[in-house]
Amino acid sequence: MSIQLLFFAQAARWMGASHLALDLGGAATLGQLLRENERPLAPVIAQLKVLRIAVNQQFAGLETPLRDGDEVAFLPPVSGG
Amino acid sequence: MVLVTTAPLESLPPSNVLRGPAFGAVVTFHGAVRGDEQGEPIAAIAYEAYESMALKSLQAVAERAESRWPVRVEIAHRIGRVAVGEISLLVEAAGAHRAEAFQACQFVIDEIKREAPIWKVDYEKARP
Repeated sequence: MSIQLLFFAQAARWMGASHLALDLGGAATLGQLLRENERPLAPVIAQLKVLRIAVNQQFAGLETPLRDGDEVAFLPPVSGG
Repeated sequence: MVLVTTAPLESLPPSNVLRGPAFGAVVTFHGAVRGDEQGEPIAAIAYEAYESMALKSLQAVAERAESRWPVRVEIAHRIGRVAVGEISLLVEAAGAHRAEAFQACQFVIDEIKREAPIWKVDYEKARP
């Protein structure tokens, strides 16, 4: 059971990657996923105050439930337009 | 129509949605890349997008504008390398009268800048 993590712009530079697959394990929420993957996600966890997180293209909070196959994206402050 | 594309927006055909007897005013906004960034000359900007979510975001912005004013809206945002002078954002708003068309267009631009998952990720320096 895996979750696809996407990192954009500055978040990708912090992570050194734009994509990561993680085992959902026992995590039922986004917050639990972050807590159970502190080491691989350390660069973005350190920047959570400036990041927004989306689950399946919807803005999410740490309490957002996760399911197998979900897509979690880490989004720095936007600068489009 | 909402579009996120690497293709030049200058090449888009004219809208066939925002023309017709109901529309007395069509406001078109072209956001283009300026030649300087914080006082330094640049040649281009590279844009990145979370494309699937950006499309949903642009669609939601268009729908909010269309529910707030009696208008129809189309949006196109270019990603990838966009050279100075080229269009990065195209917004068209059409209504019966200019007041709602101008207001809706301004609203759409502001909302895109506020929430669309699109980023300027690199500024290419201009060659001396």
